[in-house]
Amino acid sequence: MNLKDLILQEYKTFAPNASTAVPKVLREESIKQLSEWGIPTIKQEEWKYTNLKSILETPFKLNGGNGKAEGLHYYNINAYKLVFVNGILNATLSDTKGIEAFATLKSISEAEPAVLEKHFNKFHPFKDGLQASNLAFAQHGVYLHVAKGKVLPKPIIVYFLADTTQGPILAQPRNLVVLEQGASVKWIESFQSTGNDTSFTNICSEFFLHQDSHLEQYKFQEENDKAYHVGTSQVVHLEKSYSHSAVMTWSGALVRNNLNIHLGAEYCEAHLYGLYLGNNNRHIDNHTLVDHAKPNCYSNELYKGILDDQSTGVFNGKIWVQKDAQKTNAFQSNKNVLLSAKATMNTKPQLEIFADDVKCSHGATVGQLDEEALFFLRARGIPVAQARLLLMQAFSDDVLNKITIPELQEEITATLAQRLRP
Amino acid sequence: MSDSNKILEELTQSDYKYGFVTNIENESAPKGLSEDTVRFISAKKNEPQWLLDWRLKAFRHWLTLETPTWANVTFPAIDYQDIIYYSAPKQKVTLNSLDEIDPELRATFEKLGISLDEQKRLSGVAVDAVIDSVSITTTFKVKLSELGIIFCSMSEAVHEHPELVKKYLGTVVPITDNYFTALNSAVFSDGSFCYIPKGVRCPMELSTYFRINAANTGQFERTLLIADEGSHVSYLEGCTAPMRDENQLHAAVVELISMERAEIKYSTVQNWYPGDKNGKGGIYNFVTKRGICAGDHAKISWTQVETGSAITWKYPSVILKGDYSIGEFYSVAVTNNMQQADTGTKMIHIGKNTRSRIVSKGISAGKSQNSYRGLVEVKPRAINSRNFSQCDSLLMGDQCGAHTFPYIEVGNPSSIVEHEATTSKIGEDQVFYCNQRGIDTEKAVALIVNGYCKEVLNQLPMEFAVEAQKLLAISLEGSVG
Repeated sequence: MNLKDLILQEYKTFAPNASTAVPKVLREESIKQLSEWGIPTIKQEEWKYTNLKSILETPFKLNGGNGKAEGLHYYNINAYKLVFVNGILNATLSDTKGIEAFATLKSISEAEPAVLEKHFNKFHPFKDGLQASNLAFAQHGVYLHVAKGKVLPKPIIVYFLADTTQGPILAQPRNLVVLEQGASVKWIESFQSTGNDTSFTNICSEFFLHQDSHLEQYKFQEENDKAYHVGTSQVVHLEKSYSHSAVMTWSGALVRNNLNIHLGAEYCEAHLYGLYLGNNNRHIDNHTLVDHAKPNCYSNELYKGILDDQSTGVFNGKIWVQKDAQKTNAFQSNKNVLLSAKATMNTKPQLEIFADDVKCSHGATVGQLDEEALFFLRARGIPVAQARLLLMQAFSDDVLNKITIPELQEEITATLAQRLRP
Repeated sequence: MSDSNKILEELTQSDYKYGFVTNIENESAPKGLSEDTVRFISAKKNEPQWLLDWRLKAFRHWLTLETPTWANVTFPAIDYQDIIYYSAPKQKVTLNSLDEIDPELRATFEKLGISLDEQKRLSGVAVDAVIDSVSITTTFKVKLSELGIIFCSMSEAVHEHPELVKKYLGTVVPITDNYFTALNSAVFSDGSFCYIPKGVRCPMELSTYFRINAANTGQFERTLLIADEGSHVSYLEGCTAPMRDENQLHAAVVELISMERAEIKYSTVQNWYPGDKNGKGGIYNFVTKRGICAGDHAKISWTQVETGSAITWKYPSVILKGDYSIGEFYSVAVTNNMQQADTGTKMIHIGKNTRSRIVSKGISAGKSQNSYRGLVEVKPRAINSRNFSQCDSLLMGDQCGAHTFPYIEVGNPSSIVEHEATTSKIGEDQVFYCNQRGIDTEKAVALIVNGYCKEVLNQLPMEFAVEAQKLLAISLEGSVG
């Protein structure tokens, strides 16, 4: 049975017991869309370079209730901690003591309908079969509501673990983070897997930023070499809000990250950073959208990638500047290094501009390590392997520096250095 | 409303300067498209069997296709049965000299500012003027033939140089390439054919003026240009068309073949009727232009200034097959009022050490939409390839749009590809700087726009550079708020 039919069939058993927090009509509509649209194919412009064909026939288990969390790697930081195994919360491993003073933390299925009405599923510019499926199954996942003026004293980290020891697993978590006026949060998502089988994570995280709120979100991928990941993060900005996103990918078989930012009011600021390291047959795809809907907003985007072996990188960055979004400043840059003859990079920096008083620029480069810089280092007695590593580290530091939590930055930098070492 | 806005209005609302209709009797095919139409055209032109078969193959393939919808343009569906596919100005006798040309035709040329004898004497430009679908006159032919250069209409080439046409036609743009090439291949009426023999440097700029004349006639031009080893040619193409109320379809195909060490420079100034201020009428310009650097060290350079047409849909491309070959693309695309342009280029790097350069300048005013769409593809075996792309957009007024869709696909680690793009408007401080020095706003804007486009205009041959600047002046000067 192919993936689409598998999901449609699962929906029949899922629907009667689904939480009513998410309106039934929304689920029904989405499942209808999935059956109509199917799983995205390369015929669709948004999926031109990323082919999901190889997992369509995998017999995924959609309801992975009793997965185990052995082998989960915890980051060495002081943070609120949530652990999801196969898409379902493991309360005993989680630790969110004290968070009640600042925020409401629940499952999305327990959220108040009124809150959801206002904040849930508000921006979905490129809804496809997978996003529709995620919405239809919106049940497990975090609902975090930071109260007005509250600043979370420590970051919140959410681990999503796929336990594939019992066979292939499909998980579809859905998160919603709402920041009330002046609230601030640092949000970290970590994706990992145990076992050697394939897993498919189809996740969607939504962030709703009220006036003057401040969001930092990080996403790290550490799944196994057979893992498929399609993740969508959508950020809705209201007045003078600020977001800072960093997405880093260095494992998995196929990873697709969608990051959609909607600047829906004046004086918002969004920073988007990405780093991807490809080796073996890895396929890493980053799609971003910055939608400037209102005047006087600022966005800045920097994505960098190093591709080795037969790996493939894809980048598509869209900037939309809508008609009345005058005085927009939008910048985008995508830089890539290809290390091997079989690595491929497909990049498409895309601007669509409907206002005249704007400053927009984008740039994309594909190249290799600078021969002269290598020579400079070697002339000073540094062996070639070491010199290359140094250059690659320097290249990725631009993005790694954007991790504002020092312990985390240190740990990720060390992990990546290990990965880059020949 | 500010002064500059007034200037903008005045200028952008000025009437299309080249709108007039020449009354010449036409011999037309009946409306509609079927195998019979294809046979009619082929018979009319006394074509050999192989070409008819080729046309029919294209037509049958076309029937299986659907109109593409991926471009960033909108227009009502085209009724292909409501188009006359062939119309030839009636010609009673064969002409021996320019003086025998229909005086009305001569007048048309003069209105366009391309008086043939004038050009012949002064500028040294050989003009193969195409009115509607049949070449009326070809000048400088003798002079060129002394060097072994063949420059004639496509129908003539089919009869006189069938071996060349048969060998190269459809090799760069196959009939199955896309919807409009299939259509063009089936019903193409005429066009230019040019062959430069080995080692010859063409002593003058070759030029064709296309001109759509009869009402309701789609124009399907086919141009084939072959530069043999070590040769050099510069080719000019310019268009103006009379005012129309109905949209006219123009689906041309241009094929360039550049052999080892040969160089082709292809320049276009396109100023077809863009429709009125409300977007009524205007030409649909759906063109497939592609060149191949077939040999090592070959070079193809496209330069275009696009100011006209209601819809422009055009991607002059270069296939860099030979090692060390070079592809260039320089473009200025101006859209005003309700115009839509989706234009750009494709650079396909196949050979080793190939280089390409893209400079695209888009200017949108009024309620127009201007898109750059480009592909730079570096194949795994194209080692040490280099590309640099720059595409800038200038917006005038807050009703228009500028879009960039660059696709970059790199498949080897020794190539370097760079792309950069900016979007901006004319800076108030720049205008102020000029004002302060006694240059009025209108002139200041002209200055700034000219400077903005300089990089591209510089690539044009002398004769065209003047025309291009005039065109920019008409469509742009002062159009900044």
